[in-house]
Amino acid sequence: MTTDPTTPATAEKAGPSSAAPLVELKGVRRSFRRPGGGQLIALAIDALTVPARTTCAVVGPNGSGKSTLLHIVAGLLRPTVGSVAVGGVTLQSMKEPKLDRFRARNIGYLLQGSQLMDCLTARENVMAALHFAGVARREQRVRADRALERLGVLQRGDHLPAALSGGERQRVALARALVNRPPLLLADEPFASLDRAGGEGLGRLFAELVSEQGLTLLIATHQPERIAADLTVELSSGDAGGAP
Amino acid sequence: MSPLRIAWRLVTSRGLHHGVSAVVLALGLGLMLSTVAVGDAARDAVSSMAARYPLVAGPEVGPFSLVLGALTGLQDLEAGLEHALVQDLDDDPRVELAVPLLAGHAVQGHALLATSPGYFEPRDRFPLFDGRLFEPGSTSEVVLGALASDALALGVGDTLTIEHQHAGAPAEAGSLKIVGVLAPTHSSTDDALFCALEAIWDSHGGHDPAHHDHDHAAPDHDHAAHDHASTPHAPTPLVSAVLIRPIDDAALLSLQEDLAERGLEVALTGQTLRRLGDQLAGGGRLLRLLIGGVVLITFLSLLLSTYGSSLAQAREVAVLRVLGARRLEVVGIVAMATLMVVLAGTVGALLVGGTVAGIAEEVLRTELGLDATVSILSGRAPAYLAGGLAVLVIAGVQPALAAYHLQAAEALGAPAGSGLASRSYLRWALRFLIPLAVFIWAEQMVAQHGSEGFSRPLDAESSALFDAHRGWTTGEAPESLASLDGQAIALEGYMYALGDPWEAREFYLVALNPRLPRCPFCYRAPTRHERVLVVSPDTPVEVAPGMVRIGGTLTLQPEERDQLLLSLDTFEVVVGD
Repeated sequence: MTTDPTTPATAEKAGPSSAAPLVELKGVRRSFRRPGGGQLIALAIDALTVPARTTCAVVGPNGSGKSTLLHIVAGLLRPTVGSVAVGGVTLQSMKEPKLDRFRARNIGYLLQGSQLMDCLTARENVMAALHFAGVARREQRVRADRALERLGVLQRGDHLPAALSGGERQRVALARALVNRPPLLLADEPFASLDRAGGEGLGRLFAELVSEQGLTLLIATHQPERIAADLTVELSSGDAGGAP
Repeated sequence: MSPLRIAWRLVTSRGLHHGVSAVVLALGLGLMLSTVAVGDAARDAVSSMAARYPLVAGPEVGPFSLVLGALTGLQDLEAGLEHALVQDLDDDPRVELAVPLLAGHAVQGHALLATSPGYFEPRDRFPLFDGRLFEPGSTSEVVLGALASDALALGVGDTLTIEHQHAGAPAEAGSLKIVGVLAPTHSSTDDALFCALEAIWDSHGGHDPAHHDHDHAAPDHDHAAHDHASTPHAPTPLVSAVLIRPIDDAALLSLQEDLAERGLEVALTGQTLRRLGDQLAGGGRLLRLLIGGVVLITFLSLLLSTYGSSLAQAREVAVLRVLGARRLEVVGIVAMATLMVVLAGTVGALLVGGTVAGIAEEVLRTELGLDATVSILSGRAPAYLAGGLAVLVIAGVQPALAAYHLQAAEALGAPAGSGLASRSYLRWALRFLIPLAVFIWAEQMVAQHGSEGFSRPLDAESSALFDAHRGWTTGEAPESLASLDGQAIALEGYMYALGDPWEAREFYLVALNPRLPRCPFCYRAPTRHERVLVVSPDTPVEVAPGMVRIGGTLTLQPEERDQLLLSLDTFEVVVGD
């Protein structure tokens, strides 16, 4: 556990797990150029290993680099230095198009605030994820409906996000993140927009996904009590500016 | 789900925003196209009119009144020319066709124009719907325009009654037999009646038919006010004007001088109409200013629209990247969305442009008497459309490029759009403004240099006159040049000059090889073999408006002969300072 982002962060094991690592970060630093000059170190992790089929909570105050960590694991940001591997594949050695395809098939990302595409219906949002993973068009609808049904929002499939409640949007976004059956699910503040009951329900759902589907969860949250985390990574604000 | 469907949803989800953008495009591009097309059509109509009747002679009423009255009917003309002049012109070997006109008469609101059958040449311009033309010299036959026939409810075989009253005398009723009805020409011809000169002279019983601008059949017609009795009976019948088509440009020049010496008003049709256009439109500058303004407003609107779209789409683009979309896939989606708007705007522009062009054509034909065909698919308009679309596509690519360079993490981690907002707006705008500036520059070059030809001291409009009179003479026929290697060849020709007089110190006679490509919108410098002759007179030549004779001597080089033989019929005249 690390409180200073310039020093290595470590994972605190909360439960037994001897599975092979799904996420491995070594000597990762991510810095940004400050508008007025100088460097802003947003994230510094010497080593982080998240075994498969575990739930890892990333906690810390605003600006501590939680979202930056998730973006780096998702391949949306390249670390300034260090290496990132997901499922044994080193991300920084991959060219961007290959990395995009890898992300589509292997990483589900539940973005902060759901972030559905407002111009697409709930079903189309899920189908879009299938499209970019290379799933044939004739299969997209069936698999999208199955995912929506699994999350209990099939009846809302034809609605635009603007017509959905916060909880429904969250479930549709989760269906979109899981529809390609990725081994890794990243979730950025998934409980932020949910009430107590909704948060507890989502926490239970995460637990089911880990146990039933063998999913590995990496969750950035201010509410770690809502999930049964196998390990917790704590980031401190310090000099870190978080995501740009 | 497909990229096309996502693009379509991106467009329709902001239907109002994109709809307004498409409408702005349609209006701007359509008005630009129609403005250019109307300008081209008017110029072509003037050139065509000038080619049919390059010279108009009449009483001294001023060149504008004479040309407008004789060719368009927009001005009333007094009958002040003796008909003997027409007979002289008919016998003149320099004249290919002389058409007399006697205007100023009307029947129930329809102009009655007395002329000769030559007025209807070429015949395909005045097709008959029914019957035939009046016989030359007939005093009892009349031909009706299409609209006049409908309005009067008269056709071939019917009789047109004309009431004519002279001061102090009882009304006399005359009649003309309708022998033909013209097919619609969508011009002022449709609303007119036509008869032989003799029919009017006969109805007046030898009276001078001058200034009888009145409706013969109108019930409240007050002939006393016209004071027929005070007009002396002319022993020689009079006409209002004569349209003249000389056999060539040399004949035109000498006819102009001869007729002017006889005290007549002689007007060069093309020059007069073009001067009128210059006065009305500030030498075309006003038109170009309007076009430039429309272009600027349109593309600035598009600039704001596409920039707004880029901001609004930043979050969607970032989400697409999170879902695994590659940069090029995202670019494709955004570009498709933008092109859908541009396509809708283009279709709208063609509709708007076509509609405005149709209205303008009707106005030019019926109100101005110009036989104009306004098309946004011919002349310079397609080039403007292509240029406009090129800028639009470039503008449309901007959001796609913005999407390509967007950092997904940046856009997701900050409020929507800040990924783009953090970029320099000025830099983004400059990317767009550069092609716009190129487009406006190209438009100005086209406007200044005309579609063909290039002449520094002459204004751009004179190029149309060059076109109309391109067949100027050479001293030798092309075929005979082969035997003249190394010998001096005299070349001479004529050109029109407009604007203020100036001193020309050099004339370039340029033969363009027709086998080489020619830029239809700009001046192409001649190749080494195409520049034929530079004439530097010993003393500067005073070039005054009107026809100018130019000439010089060329020593033909053997190696140039092949090129010359190809191109001697395509001379262009470029006048140096």
